[in-house]
Amino acid sequence: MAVNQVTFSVRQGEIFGTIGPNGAGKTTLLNLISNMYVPNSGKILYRERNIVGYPPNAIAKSGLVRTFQSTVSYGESTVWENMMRAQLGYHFLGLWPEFLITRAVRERRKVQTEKAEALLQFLGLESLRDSQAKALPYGYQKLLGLAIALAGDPQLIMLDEPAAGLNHDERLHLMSAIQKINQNGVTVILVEHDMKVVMGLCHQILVLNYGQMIALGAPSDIQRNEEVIKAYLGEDPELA
Amino acid sequence: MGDTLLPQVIINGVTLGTNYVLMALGFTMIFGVLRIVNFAHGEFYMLGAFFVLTAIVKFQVSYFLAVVIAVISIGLLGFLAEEVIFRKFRDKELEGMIVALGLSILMQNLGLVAWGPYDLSIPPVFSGVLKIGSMFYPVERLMVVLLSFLLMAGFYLFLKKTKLGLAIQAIAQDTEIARVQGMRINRLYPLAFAIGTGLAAAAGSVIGPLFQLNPWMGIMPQVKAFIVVILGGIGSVPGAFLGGLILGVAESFVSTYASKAMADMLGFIIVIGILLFRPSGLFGHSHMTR
Amino acid sequence: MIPQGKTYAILALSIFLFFIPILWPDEFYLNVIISTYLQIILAVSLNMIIKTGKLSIAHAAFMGIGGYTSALAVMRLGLPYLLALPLSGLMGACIAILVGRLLLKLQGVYFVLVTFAFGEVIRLFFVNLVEPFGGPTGIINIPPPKITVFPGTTFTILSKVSYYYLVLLVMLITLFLIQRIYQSSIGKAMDCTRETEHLAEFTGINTFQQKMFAFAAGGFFAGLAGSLFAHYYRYISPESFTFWESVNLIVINVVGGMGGITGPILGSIFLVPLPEFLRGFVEYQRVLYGLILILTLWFMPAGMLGVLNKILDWMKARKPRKEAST
Repeated sequence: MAVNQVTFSVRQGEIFGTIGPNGAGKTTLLNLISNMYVPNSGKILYRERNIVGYPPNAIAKSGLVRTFQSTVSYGESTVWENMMRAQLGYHFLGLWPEFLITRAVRERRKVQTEKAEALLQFLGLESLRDSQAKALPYGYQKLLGLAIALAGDPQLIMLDEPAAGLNHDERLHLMSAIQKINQNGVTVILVEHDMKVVMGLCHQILVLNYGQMIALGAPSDIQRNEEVIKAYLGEDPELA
Repeated sequence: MGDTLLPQVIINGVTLGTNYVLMALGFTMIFGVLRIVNFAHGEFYMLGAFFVLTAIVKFQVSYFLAVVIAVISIGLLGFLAEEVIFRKFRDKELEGMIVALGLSILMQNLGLVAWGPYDLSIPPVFSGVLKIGSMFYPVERLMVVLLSFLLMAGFYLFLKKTKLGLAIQAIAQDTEIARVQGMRINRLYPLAFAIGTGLAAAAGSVIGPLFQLNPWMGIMPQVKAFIVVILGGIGSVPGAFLGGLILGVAESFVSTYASKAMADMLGFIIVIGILLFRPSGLFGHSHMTR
Repeated sequence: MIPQGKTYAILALSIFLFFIPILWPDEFYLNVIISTYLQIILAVSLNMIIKTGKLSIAHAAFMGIGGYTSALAVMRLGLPYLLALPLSGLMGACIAILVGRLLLKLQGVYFVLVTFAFGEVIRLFFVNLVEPFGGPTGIINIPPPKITVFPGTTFTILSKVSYYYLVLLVMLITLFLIQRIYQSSIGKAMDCTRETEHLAEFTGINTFQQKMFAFAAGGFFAGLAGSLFAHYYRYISPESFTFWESVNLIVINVVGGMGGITGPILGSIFLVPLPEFLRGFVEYQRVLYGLILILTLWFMPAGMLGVLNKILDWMKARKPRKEAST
């Protein structure tokens, strides 16, 4: 079983991290709670509603957005186009009004342009707006991914290994971006392999191994937890 | 009347089925290993039959030698096709499929230019009729079934007993792992394609004497191969075998007790049903949906 | 929105098209042009389906559905053509919605295969039912469209010239509607769905709705084309909409280019008249056809439109920058 008997609560406004060795089931967990996979049993309560089985676009529109590790953005389009595209789903007024290009549809354009501009500024991407997304340095692509996730003013974002493949500076830049986002009131769930990122950012940490929950608590508790140390023996010497 | 009809229907079904299995084996191999929907598969079948015809009529070669020549030369053609044409589209499934479509059109019409639109026939190799109980069975047909089984057995042994065969199976299972284990995709892909087309050519050569030859003779066998492969599971050899026989017998029944047109429709309805409800077919693994 | 200059150019072109039968009343040429227009309607509506990332080889089947619907509506139900035409479109859309629910769940190559099977099932369905579809021979002696604008004034669209105007009108409406869809947020959402489906889905785009809409609208326009086809050739049979007709539509899109409606239009203009003018060399013509397909995918994956765009870009780069106010 990829993920077995995992139960936890995420408090509003916090940064929640999930770590574990490779194959522990972290990404599967993320895929489950974002409704990419359907669980065999169990519930996912978001604002007291069980969202199991809801189509992903509905979940996104209700304020729960996730990012992807592999496909971060619309690679062929420019950064600006990505920001406009990212907002499409949230502002979609329905097939008929969109086809008729009603006044509401036309007026929305101004709002979307402003939002795109604001998000680019927030994440420091405004000078890159005409660059093609897939040509960006990897660190900036990840930031673009964050910007896309924020396009719909989400209440909770779920990040899939955001620091993967980043060098030291890029990682720091990303971490400060995530903190800024959290300070703005967005709850963050983070799936990460990199211990430093998780320890540095999270208020609560869940540790998985072989699909099972082996620890749940504040970073200082996790650091001292024997099970966790055992699981990571040989993985990250800086943990001990 | 009812007693003698049933066994005949079954035997016809099995005969039909063995035709289908041969085509399906090559097709499933190409689809399973290279992820190419080889729309030109039927054309390699057609070329097999025509090469045999040309070898016998123009070069006075014996039938069996003609078959060997046809299979080898078309296998070579397949090897070249993958190396030269399909290689460019290795990671682009949909484009590769459309290229195969283009190749199919090209080959059909080159065949038309080369051999004309009229039906031709390969001079019969065997004569006589076998009488089993109250049923009559032409020896030619029996030999076709026998030869087909021989080919199938040969292919099975190749897959299970030779290094190349095992390597090909590994790639079909999981390309990434195979690559990591150091298998040279660049060598194996064209070889796998060659074997697939060789099998199609073998089917055409073996079944050729039974039917009329024309440039479009590959279209129906291709369609059947596709149905069998979906039914049996993509990349699965036992699936191709079982699927072929099941389709052959089912069609024989529907053909006899309902109509031929219904029998044709049956295959497609099976395909739709399988793709929607049991995408991995009888034996395959599912990579159908995301 | 299209910049002003382009709008006028398109308008001028459309008006010019109205004058063609007057300038070239040759029956042969008109026939070729009408066939081209019909293909354009089919190719552009298929383009919309492809725009959501679904390659359908069943498009010709929807044309067939429209054709039979129209023929039967007029011949059996006695409906006026002005009703039969949209009815054909609606029938195409309805069937698309019914089967789309299931078919659109499949991805990539598997979707292509299931549409192939579906197209064949439809064809065989019509082959099998002699009553009311005429079986393998289909329906013959389909009457020409009789259009009653005001009570008392009925036009019978009999001559090639009058048919030209009918088809031109439907084609222009089709192009206008589809272009409108492409320019709206629906078109953008379709692009997102095609390019990176899960990113689209997870940013709130209902990708299933997009695919269904494209498939249903595609079915609608294909149905319209089918009706026009049936009453133009005055017969319809299962041979009119085989797998090869569907493949031809895909080839038109590939060779013409799939970005926007211009691609399939270019593709149709290039590929439809070709066989007409190569009448003497039938076998070579099809060899050429297969070759064109392979070579296009090899050298110009963006099709004729891609090449055209490259030329335009190159021309823009060579022209010295003028100080113009936009």
